[in-house]
Amino acid sequence: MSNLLGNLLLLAEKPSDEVLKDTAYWVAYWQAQGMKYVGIGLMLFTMALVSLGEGLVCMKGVEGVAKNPEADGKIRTTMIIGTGLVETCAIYTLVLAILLIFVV
Amino acid sequence: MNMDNILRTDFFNVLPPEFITSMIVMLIIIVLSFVIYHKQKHYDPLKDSPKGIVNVTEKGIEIFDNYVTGNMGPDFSNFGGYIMVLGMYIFFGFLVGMTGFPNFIYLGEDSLMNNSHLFSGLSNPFTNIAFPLDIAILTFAITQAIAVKYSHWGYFKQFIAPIPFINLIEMWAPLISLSLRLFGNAFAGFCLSTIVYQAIDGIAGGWGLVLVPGVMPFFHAYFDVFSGFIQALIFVTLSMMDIAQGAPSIEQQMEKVSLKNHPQNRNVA
Repeated sequence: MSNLLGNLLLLAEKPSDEVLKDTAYWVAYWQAQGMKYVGIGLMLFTMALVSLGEGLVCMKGVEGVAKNPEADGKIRTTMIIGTGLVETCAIYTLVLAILLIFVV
Repeated sequence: MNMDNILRTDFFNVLPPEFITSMIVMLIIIVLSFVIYHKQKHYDPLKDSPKGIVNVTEKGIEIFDNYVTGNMGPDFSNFGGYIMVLGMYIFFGFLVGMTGFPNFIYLGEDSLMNNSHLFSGLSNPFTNIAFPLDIAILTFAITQAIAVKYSHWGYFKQFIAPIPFINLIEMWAPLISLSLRLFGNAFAGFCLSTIVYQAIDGIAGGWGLVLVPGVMPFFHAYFDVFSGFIQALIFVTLSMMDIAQGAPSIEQQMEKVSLKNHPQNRNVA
């Protein structure tokens, strides 16, 4: 386990081809690259919470319309704006995931 | 003269292809405004009811002005222009990618991209971090300008407020959130629809002529039309709310024009 963690510190950038011919460095590099995808998998918990949050927004919106059917239009506009704001965190997570895959 | 490289000259290194889309959207807005101007020059509101594009424009301006005064107050009644153009720029930027108009930068023969037949159309300018950052910086500048205008030297009091120097970090939050929200939505839509385009191209090369019109409209309807409209609305609403924070609130603005202090109303509570 400590070996894995030590490798992660070494390999922020791809080593040169000469170094990579050595099997140990090659294995360590791909282990570090594999941890990226573990991190992306952990981001799914964030997404689950965001979906829960959006459900709460819609819940209160529907309740508001039920209590006051005349304010249908205003509640709908506010609800959609609120949904867009809640989605922001999910979008940040997506951008970070794409950044992890293609840039790091 | 070799026209192939003329748009790829070094202008802060290399021009991105989204630049062309941005220019075309701005051209559309400018041409539209000239057309409406000439049409409304011959229109007299006292004689006949508006027809055609003048009718639509009047309704649109009414909607935007009511929205702006509802969020910011009656002092900002001349602010609808900025909001309208901003909303139109974002919405049209999402939409023009769906036309088949070619992208001049990739028409040259020395294009190094492998899948250039997939990227030869107009791409959404907000998939490049520069363009949403641009309009977020505009909003940020207007926010600070309005704050300075209404509180003159009191503008610097926000840095010494209850906890000193916390506002130095908080003032950048709207900038980052506005730009990244728009960029993320545009980029996510672009990535997901590109993946499906490449899948159709790889699996069913010739049948793509049948599959693309049958499958892709749903992607474009959600990612371009719906998402573009919602993101334009959110950007514009948040801009208005951030700008109105530096100005007196709606209640304070109504106080200034109220007739409470009029001698005729001295008995009214």
